[in-house]
Amino acid sequence: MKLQRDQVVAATLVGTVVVVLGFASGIGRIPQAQSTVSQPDHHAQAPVPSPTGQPHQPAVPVPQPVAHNPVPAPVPHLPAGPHVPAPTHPHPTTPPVTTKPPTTPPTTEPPEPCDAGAITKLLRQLGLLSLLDELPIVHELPAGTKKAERLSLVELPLLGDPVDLLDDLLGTTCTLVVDEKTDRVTALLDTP
Amino acid sequence: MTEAAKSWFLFARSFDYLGTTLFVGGLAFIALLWPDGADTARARRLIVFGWLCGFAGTVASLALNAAWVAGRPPSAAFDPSVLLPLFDAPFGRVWFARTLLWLLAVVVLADLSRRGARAARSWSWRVGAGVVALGVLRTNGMTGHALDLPGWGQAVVFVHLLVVCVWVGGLLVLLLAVLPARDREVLTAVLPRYSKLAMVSVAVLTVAGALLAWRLVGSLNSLLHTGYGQLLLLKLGLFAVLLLLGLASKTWVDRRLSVAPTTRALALSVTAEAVLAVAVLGVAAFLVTTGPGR
Repeated sequence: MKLQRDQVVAATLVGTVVVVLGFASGIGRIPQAQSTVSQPDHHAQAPVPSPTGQPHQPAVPVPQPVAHNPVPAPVPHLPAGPHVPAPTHPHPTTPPVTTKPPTTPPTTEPPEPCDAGAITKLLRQLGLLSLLDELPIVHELPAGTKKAERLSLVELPLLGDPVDLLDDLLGTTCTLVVDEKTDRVTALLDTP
Repeated sequence: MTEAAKSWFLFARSFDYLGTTLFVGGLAFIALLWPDGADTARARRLIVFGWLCGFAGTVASLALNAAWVAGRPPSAAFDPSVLLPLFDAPFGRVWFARTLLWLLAVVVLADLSRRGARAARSWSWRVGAGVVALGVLRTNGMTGHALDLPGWGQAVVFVHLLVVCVWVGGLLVLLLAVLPARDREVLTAVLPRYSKLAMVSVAVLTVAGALLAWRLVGSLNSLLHTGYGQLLLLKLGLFAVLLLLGLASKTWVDRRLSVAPTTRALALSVTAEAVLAVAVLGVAAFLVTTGPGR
């Protein structure tokens, strides 16, 4: 069978479209969490206060501040899509990354309880709590749920400050609980 | 600054939607209903115009989206320091892929210009045009709210977009290429076919739209009291009027096409439909930048 030119063109188009869509889907790319290209995980678990009274060392290495970046760097964690309005960013040219010290200062003081009310309010404003009136506080992980990993927060359509604020509010004792199936926030796990 | 970039992004997105609808709908119209239209300058110009709007809208959306996300003014949209990091983000890659697909569409257009109706009748052109058009549509479902949807939801989004393009794009071709020619023979051949296609499209669109509304809004309370819900209500209101006008057009085609001395009444009805359809596309551009109501 002899191939005509238009058939070859059509087959090439089909192949190219498949490749382009594969590229768009991110097939073959290293997952972002493992990619080290300017993606320091500054949302890692907040360091736990040292019970010994010694100066605290963060459990997870905190990236050092970048010395100087003359080019206005983009925010490091871009939203997954344009569907959520970008929050107001007071310093849009300043990367909200890694330049601040650990959110919990090294101290031997007893852990502060997390502020459930403020967390509820923040989550509601971020549109993550539309189905719940109040965020119930639990002390054990309910069945069918899991702890929210901080990395998943990074992937939320947030730019810097709200995530940091959420980290501050969660403090050292609280974790968000999400439904295993829907990934929706369902409760606040308080483990003093 | 951010709000300015967002406003321009919405504007570019509207252009993108209009272009996509006209391009995909125009190709479908030529391939399925009116292959001879590929030999008319009006139809070809319309499809090329759709391509221009789609391509320009996509490139502008890519850049303005980058500026919006980075909190920069619209004037910085094409700044490499704003654009380049976007390619590391999933939605940046999708926008870039969409741009590439628009460039691939040039091959389809070039073949249509060269061979005209012969191309529109050939299976190879139809396959090539179809796969590029479907690829462009698929990228719509790879950003925005569709990302929050499960697999079936993604499929529904795709079908929703496809039937919108077939219906509204076909409507625009009808209004701007078929009716102005005033060729009775063409009208008699094309109008009943388009009428059937539009009916099927509207039926599928209604089911797909209802499923998506249920998944993204979830409750009457959210529909009435969230920004997303209210925009959706506006879109549904326009859609309802559009349906009434479509019904009037269909009735005219069924009863008056063979006996009416002129097509003026139909042209008026189709014009009103087209204006409303473009308004619906504008509302859709706002919807994709609004957080879902659920």
